[in-house]
Amino acid sequence: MDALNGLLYGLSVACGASNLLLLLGGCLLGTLVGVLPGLGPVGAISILLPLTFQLPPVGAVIMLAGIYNGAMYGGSTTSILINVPGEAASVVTCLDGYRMAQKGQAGQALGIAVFGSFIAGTLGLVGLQIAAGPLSALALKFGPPEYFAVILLGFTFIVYLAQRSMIKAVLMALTGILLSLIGLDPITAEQRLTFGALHLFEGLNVVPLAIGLFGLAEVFGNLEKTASAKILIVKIRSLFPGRRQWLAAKWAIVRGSVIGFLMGILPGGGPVLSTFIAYGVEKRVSRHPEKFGQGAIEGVAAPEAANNAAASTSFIPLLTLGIPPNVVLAVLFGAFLIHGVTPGPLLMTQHPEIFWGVIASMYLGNVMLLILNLPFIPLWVQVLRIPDRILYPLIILFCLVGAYSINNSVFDIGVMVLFGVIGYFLKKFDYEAAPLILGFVLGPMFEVNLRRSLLMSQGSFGIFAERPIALAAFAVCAVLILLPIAKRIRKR
Amino acid sequence: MKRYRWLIAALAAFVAIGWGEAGPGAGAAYPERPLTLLVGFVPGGSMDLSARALAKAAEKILGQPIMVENKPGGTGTVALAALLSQKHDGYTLCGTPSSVLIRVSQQQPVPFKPFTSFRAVIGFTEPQLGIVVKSDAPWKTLGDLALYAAKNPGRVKYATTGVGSTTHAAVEAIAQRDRLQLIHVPYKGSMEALTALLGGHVEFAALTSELVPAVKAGQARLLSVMSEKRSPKYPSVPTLKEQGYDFANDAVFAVVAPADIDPSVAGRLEEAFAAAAKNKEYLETLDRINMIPVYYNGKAFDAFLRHHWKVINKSLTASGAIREAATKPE
Amino acid sequence: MNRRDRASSIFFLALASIVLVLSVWQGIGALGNPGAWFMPFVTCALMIFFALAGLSAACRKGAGAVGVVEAWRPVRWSKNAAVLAVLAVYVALLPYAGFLIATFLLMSVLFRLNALTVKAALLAACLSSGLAYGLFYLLLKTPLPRGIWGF
Repeated sequence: MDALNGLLYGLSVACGASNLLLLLGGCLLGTLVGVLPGLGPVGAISILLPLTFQLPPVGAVIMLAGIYNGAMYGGSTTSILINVPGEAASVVTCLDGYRMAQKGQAGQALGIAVFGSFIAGTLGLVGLQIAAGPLSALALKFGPPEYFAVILLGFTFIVYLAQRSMIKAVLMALTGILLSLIGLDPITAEQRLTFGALHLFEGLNVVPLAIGLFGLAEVFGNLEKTASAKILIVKIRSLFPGRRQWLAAKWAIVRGSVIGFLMGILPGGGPVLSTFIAYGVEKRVSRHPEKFGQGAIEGVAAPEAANNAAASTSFIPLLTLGIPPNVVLAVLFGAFLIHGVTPGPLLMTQHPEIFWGVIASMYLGNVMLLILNLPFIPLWVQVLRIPDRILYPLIILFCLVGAYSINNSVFDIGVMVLFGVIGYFLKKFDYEAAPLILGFVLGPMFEVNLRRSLLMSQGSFGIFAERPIALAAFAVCAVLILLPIAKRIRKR
Repeated sequence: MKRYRWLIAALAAFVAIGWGEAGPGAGAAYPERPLTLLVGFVPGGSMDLSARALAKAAEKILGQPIMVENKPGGTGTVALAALLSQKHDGYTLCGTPSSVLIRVSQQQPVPFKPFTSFRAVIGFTEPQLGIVVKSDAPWKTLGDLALYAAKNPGRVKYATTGVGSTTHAAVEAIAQRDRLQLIHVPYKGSMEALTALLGGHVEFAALTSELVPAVKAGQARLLSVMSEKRSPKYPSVPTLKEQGYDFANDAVFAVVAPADIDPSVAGRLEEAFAAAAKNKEYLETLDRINMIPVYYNGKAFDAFLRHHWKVINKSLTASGAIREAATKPE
Repeated sequence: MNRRDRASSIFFLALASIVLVLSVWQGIGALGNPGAWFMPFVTCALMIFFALAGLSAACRKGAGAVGVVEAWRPVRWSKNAAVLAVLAVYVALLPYAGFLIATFLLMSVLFRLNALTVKAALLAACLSSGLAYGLFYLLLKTPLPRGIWGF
């Protein structure tokens, strides 16, 4: 079955009344859990999993995929409005999104995030349909040395993440790596920096960390301001992005989609990595890089596009190889199995109704989510009209529940509060939290792939030079690091 | 600081409430309210899915809903510790793989005694463990593979689900008997290890249940299974024991309760879960998630734990992973 | 000379040095078989390098930079300390009192701290904790901490 016929067949499956209703329900629920920090798609899907036992497999999977996509749309809302990232993939959105909201452009930021998500999600699906086969073959070529090289490439983007001091940004990223090493060693299961605490065995979780460093730290920073130091009440300007902003964000969305699409196939941190890289690339190609971090609309559009495109492509390894590339899709994988369907190379021939039904329903879901999300924007913007003395306690409550619900653990609330304090001090000393999160997310993958590579080569670094993909990634790293240095030397 | 006097009062109230003790008396007919089943792993994994399926079957027999609550952390130990911190009244249970009680407890100090803190309600299922190669690999049997590895010392790489895991121990047993020099590339979980195998980054892999779909799809070939008896799914594939390697799976998924719950409640639970394990829908679900049904009652599971504790202790100390068990078992 | 940068660089230097010594002591393994403490060792070595670079930059920079104290002068940090104390008590109390009660108390204190009248604070706390409970526990089935009374 070729792609077009397949899609038409899929649409005929997805447009059944019951399937449409399930999709709508999934999208609504996904948007809800996406907006609430902490409780992400993993929680929502696992809660719903038992409820879908009674459904036919196609309906169940369509609904669960709807939740996943819905959560991807909603994820940026709290990042933009109150600087609380609901998941690691929306950390980068905080950087410029929250600044835009402070300038009274919350509506534009939310709008561009929704439109960017829609465009990227749709482009991602087109790509998924055309290139699923070759891309999944490429994903398998990635062994430990290739991963190591690509993650190193991700780290070099710190150059562009740093708003002020380079040295400080690198120190933050290293601190992030160090924090990610807490817990049992992923290879030998030895305890590292756990001080015997049971809750630290599996390490710190990124969500409480990010909520603390961004959300709670921001609340602390605002609470202490005396009346005279308070910012003027922002006037909310237009609710939707205007022509000028569209022009500015147009290419950012396209570039973000492409980056997200390519990084999405990498199991593990693909979507998160893609948001950081998309942001870095925008800053690199921008004619006014100094505006980044001050509320540049490209800084919202690119990472939001990237994480939605990555969400689409992350289905490729699952549907074609039977390998779930992230936790959400691992739960979805379980759902497939429960319904007697095994995702993998045989899926397309054995269960075409599921393969094409899911793809077609994701197209429909994207349209549905666009329509669902747009009317919400004016509503969300009202949140900023709530007076500070009521808003701040509510944000704290939001942070608490968000940190708790990721693992149902009171310990995580403690972690979140601790990192709220740390984030507060970091700000006082002019350090930025974004590189720390980057280091924290990539640290474990960086470590295991370096160690696996060295195990495979018995200690020789030659293994990185023998692999073409790895070598190419290293070359790009070198260029990225040397270029700014060369520029500076020439200036002198 | 007068302004903050109300704050101090509020804090005092906080604390007073925290230390207040209250609780309704134990009822006569167990169970008279819903039960909670803790699971120490993230949702969607085989432990979570099989526990949910069993809980669903047991609800019907006990006549009360069973809520599954995921408490991931500490490689499954956080949920067991949480079980002990709840009231020991039989209303909170925990689903756990035996490996948490056997392996993890020897590698890490844990806040419970693996033999005596808990009593098993049921040991209900085990994963399909096996050794696989890519389907286009030249080796048709484990013997072929071992022969090739013997001829190429230090060149054959294999993936497992982690250092000190059951899958790692199995390959160690092979390497030890056949005096092979292999390169171990540990991964986190079966999925990652399978990906490495399919990508051709390792020559063979020792995997858990995730191998079943790959074998079914013709991506991988199963050379040997690690259960005591041949798997009903693959009657033509020999076990490791048949091929002369002294190794058998030590991972059985169980539901446990605190050891000191009321004996009549424990009896009721054992009976109900034993009946639930015969439920047709539950068995179908197990089959779909590629788990093999087994049955151990409380006593049999205790014997299983004690036997495998010794076996694993021997292999862990021999491989140099630990010097002695980090936790005393009783 | 920038005193804030100097202080923070020294902090990172100290942190990295401690962990570095710890990892060498625990064993970093060989290059062909990197041990558990290989990565902490590498990370800390790099941290020390960059902290030293930061330190030298901070000492070279000219006058006019901010000192440590200035960052705190125009603010009411006592309010932050109060919020932090309340949050610490909340975390300690949550497993015993359960989500509903602990959150109600927390929210009333927080609203009161933010200059709402006692009555308004209690009302707002009632609403917010009740809504959060309804949304997360009843609608989304998040197993919130139950406390000793079972809710």
